[in-house]
Amino acid sequence: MHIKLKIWRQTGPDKEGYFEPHEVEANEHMSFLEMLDVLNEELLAAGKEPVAFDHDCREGICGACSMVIDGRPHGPRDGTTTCQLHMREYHDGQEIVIEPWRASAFPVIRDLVVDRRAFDRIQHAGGYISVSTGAAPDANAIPIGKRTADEAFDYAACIGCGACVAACPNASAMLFVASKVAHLSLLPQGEVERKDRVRNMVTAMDEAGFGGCTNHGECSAACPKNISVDAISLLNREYMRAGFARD
Amino acid sequence: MPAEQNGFDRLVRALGSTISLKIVMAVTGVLLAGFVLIHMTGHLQMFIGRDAYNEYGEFMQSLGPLLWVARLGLLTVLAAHVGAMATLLMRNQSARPERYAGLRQQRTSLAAMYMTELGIVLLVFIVYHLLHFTIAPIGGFSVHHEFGGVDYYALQQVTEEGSRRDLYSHFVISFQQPAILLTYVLATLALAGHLAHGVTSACKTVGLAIGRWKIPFELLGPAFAVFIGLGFLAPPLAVFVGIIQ
Repeated sequence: MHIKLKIWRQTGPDKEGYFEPHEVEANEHMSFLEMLDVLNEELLAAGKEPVAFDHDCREGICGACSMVIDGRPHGPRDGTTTCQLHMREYHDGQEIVIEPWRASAFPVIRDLVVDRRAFDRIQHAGGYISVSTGAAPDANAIPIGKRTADEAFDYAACIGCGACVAACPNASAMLFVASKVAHLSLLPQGEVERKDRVRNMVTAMDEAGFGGCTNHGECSAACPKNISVDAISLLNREYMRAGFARD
Repeated sequence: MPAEQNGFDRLVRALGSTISLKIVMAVTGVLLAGFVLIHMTGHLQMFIGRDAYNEYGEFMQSLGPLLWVARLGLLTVLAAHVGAMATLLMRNQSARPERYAGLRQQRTSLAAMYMTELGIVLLVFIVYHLLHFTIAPIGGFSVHHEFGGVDYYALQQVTEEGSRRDLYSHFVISFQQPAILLTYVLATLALAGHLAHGVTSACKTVGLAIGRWKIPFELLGPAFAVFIGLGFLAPPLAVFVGIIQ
């Protein structure tokens, strides 16, 4: 199939960006990133700069691939990362607009690559437990109910890709922070540092320059792991709980 | 975890976080919604009659200092709501300085996207409403539809005790005028839109709308908005079509 692309090009963080038209031949079995690989091969052969984009595992688990495709982070399929999007979603002659995540907390490095170290800074502020757990224990050695374990796992599914920020009209990172806080606070190992975790992660989130949440729900709709907005209500509860604590 | 300052310093710092400001908006918003509900029931007394409505007006004025406590309280709540909104709006705008070519909306609503604009309409309307019924400029507030130069604020109802302000007639004369009716209809629609998203959003912000409670609270906002909208529209429309005279 013949695909027309409008891709965001930007040579550096402080440079003016613009949309550049390209055309590429693709077949329906290709993943979206493979289609971009084909384009880049042609650009390289012609002596031009290839389109820079983030990618790593190419199997939907690492959170590296990040592009807004026709106005939707990760493209048109629900619960699907860009690397797992395939060209069978498109028809011959279709035009596709591709732009990077847009947020002041995610400055563009080049073309479609953005700097997501703000997420790392948030993680460093509290997205962990300070317990030496050793090797994986026997499954039932610590009695955690299945409902709790399942719920924590749903939130642990967050891959930190930033699609939530990209989709949010306010460029808020609440769903990301909420996923980490919810995941860890629901489990006994995370309970010890609950209060400091939520306070410090929210502070880091604000300092990074993300926006605030007005409950649009766009984040959850864009999330490739279908994380529920309930995480945000949980985060708000945790934050108030920490706020009313005596210490 | 990094070394901490003392608890009070951290609390003060935390009060400026986006979540804290959102909680302020949620709580003040719910208080304002509560006022709106009570205010609405006041108006509905128009259906009971002239005496009932004028007695209600008299009662409100007779509260004296208590009335001013309530007014200042409302004003403080409103100022907190608007102040928190302004701070968050600035943060949200600087969070995305470069616009997308196109970002598709999947789940949000029109009301959610235009909360600020609706809020500003409501602020302007509050000023108008106060000038119309509470504060007393000369000659009422109709520019194009003179009722023989009626000064609303001089309307009096004669009762056994004496004479009192005829708030009932003020209401009736006002809403017989299409321009005034239209203003209030538009304001009520703006209020309904603002509440439809605001009430649900407030419940999510304070962590109520979660899990099994998500759907009930999702419905609460629009349901409350419809209830309030209909309740506010009923008396003016009844006046306009002649049910209340």
